[in-house]
Amino acid sequence: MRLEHDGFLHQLGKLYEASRDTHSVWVTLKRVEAAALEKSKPKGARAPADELAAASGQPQCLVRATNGKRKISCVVDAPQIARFQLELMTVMRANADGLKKKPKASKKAKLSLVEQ
Amino acid sequence: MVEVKNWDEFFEQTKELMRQNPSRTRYSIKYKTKPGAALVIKITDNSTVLKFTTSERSDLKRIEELTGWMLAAMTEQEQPHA
Repeated sequence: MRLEHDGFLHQLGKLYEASRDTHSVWVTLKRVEAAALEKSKPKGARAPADELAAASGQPQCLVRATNGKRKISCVVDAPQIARFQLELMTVMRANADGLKKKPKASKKAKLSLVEQ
Repeated sequence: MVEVKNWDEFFEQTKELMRQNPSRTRYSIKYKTKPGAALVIKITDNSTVLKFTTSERSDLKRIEELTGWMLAAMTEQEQPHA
């Protein structure tokens, strides 16, 4: 399902929550040329965020996310990347909460959880 | 499939792959919960695969940097920068 940025990030958060402890979640980024994107646009999907960029032939970044069951995607173009990156990482940071918190130095240390 | 252990090396090889084949290289971040929580970063251009796995929260910073670089490289008109 193609979404706008805000919708995508919101749904991504939900995807992480729904998959907690049960499924892995993949987020995939790839370059996409505007022309190819237009062809593959699914029925009923909303138009890409920025039609102007799509028309100019500027490459865009297709961002997809899935937990193996649900699929969502959105398109990011050059002027939007800084903000999108920030928000994407905020969502990931909030949801990748199973990661070990012990910082640095102990890449393989299994002790980190105990120490806390 | 190359499992790269060293982050700097991984980042360098990713950049190289992206420079060689910007339109076919894709980048995925997988968050898995079993057996333990971990992030698996995979870069591939359909012939070479680079993989980096971490379960450290502090690595999110590195992933953020890489994501920023990849987003920029993917939306650039010209060849990706160094």
